[in-house]
Amino acid sequence: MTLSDAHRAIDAVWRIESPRLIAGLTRIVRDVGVAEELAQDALVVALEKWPESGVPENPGAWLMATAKHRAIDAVRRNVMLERKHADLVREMETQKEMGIEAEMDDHIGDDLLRLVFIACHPVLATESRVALTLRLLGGLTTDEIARAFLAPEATVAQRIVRAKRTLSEANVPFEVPRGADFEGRLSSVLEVIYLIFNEGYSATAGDDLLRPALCEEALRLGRILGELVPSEAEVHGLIALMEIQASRFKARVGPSGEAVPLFDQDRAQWDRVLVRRGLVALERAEKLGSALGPYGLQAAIAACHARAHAANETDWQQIAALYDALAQLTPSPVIELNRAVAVAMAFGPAAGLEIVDALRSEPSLQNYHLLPAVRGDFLMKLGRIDEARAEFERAASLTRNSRERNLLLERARSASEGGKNAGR
Amino acid sequence: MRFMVLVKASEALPDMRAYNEQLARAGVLLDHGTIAGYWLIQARSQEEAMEWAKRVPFHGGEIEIHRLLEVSHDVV
Repeated sequence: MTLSDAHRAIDAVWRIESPRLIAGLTRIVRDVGVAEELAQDALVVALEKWPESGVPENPGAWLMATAKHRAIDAVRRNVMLERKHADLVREMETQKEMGIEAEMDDHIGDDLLRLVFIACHPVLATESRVALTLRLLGGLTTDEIARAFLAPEATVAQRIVRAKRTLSEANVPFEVPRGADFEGRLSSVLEVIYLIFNEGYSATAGDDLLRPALCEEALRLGRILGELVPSEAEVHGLIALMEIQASRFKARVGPSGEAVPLFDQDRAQWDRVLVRRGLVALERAEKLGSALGPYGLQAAIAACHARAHAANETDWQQIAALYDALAQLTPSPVIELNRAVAVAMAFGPAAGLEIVDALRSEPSLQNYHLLPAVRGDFLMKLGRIDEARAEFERAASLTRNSRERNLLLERARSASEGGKNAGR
Repeated sequence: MRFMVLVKASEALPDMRAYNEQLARAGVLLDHGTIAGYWLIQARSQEEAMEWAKRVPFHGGEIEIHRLLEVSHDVV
C-alpha cells in the first residue's frame, strides 16, 4: 500500500469514526471546538503511525484513547482552557482505568445525539448550523462545505470558528433537550438536514459533484437520527420524504438538462431501492400512532406518486386529502396551490378553480408563474379558452426560464387555435 | 456511491445482527440479505466501503466489494 493509499484508507476511517469521537470528547471537555481539535490531533498521530502499523482492530477506540492522552497532556501543560483542570484530569484518568471500550459503548449513542443538538442549536444562524453539522457530523472539510454551497472557503471557515465561539460563550450545555424544549429543538435539527438535502437536490449537471452528494449526506444524517430517536414520527417522516425525493434524482432532469415535471418523468428511472426505503420509513412514522406531522404528510404525498407505476394510476383523492391535512398544519399559498392541482385531478377542474380563484389576491403569489399556469390549465379543461390563453400568456411573462416560457407560449398558441390538447 | 459487499463462504454465516445494526446506526445500510450474505451500502469512497467490509465479523471465506455504477448524476 502506498502512502497515499494508506492516507485514503485512514481518511475513510476518519469519516466513519470522527462524529462519535468528537461527541465523546465533547462530553469530557464540554467544548466542541476543543473536542474537534483533540480529535484532529489524534488523526495526525494516526496518519503518522498507521501507514506502518496498519489500521488497528478498533480504530474508534484507538483514536479516543489517543485523543484523551493528548487532552491530559494539554491540560497538565495548562494549554487548553480555563476549566477545573484537576477535576478534568481526574475524570479522564478514571475513565482510562474503566476501559475505553466499555465506556464508549455506554455513552456513544447519547453523545452523538447531544452533538447533533449542539450543532443545530438555535443560538446559531441557520447557515452556521448547516456548516457545523456538515463539519462535525459529516466530517466534511471547510473546502468541501464551501464548494458544496458555492461559498468562499474563507467565509465558511470564519462561520465555523464563530459558531464554535458562540456556543462556547453561550455556555450551551452538552445535553439532549428535555420536555417542552425537545420538539422545537428537534425541529431545528430536521430543518438543517432538509436544508442540506434541498441544496443537493437543486444541483444541476455541471455543478461540483460535492453538491448532489449533499443529498447522500442529508440522507445519511437523517437515517442516523432515525436510529438515535426511533420514537419520533417526524424523523421517520423526513427520512421517508428524502428517500422518495432522492429516488427521482435521475428522472427529474431531461437529456438537455431541462427540469422534467413529476407527471412527465420516466418512472422506470425512479430508484426502487430508495422508494422501498421511503415507504418503509413512512410506515414506521405511521405506526408510531399519532397523526403525521408536516414532513410525514409531505412524505405520504410523495409516496402516493411513488406507488403509482404510471401517472394515470395516481391516487389523487388521497393526495388531495393529504394536502388538506398539510394545509391545516402549515398553511401556505404554495401548499394551497398544490392542493388545488390535486383537488382538480380528483374532483374535476371546477373544484380546483374555486381554490385557485381565492389565491389570485395572495400577495406572495403575484409574480409566481405557476399560479396563472395552473389556472390556465383548469380554464382550458372547462372550455373557457380565451381566459385560458390570457393566463398562459401571463404565466409566460412571469417566468425567467426560457424553456418554461416557450412551453407556456405554446399552450397559449394552441388555446387560441381552438386547442384541443389541454395536456401537461 | 453504492457498493455491494458480498460474503462468499462454504460454511454458515454467524449472527450478523450486530454488524447490521452498526451499518444502520451509521446511516449507510441500504439493503441486505440474511441468507445470502450481502449488504448494499452507501459510502463516500471506495476506501470507506472497504473499511466497512473489513468490519464484517466473519473470517471463514472471501469478501467481495462491487461498486455499483450509475449512468449519470451519480448521487445515491
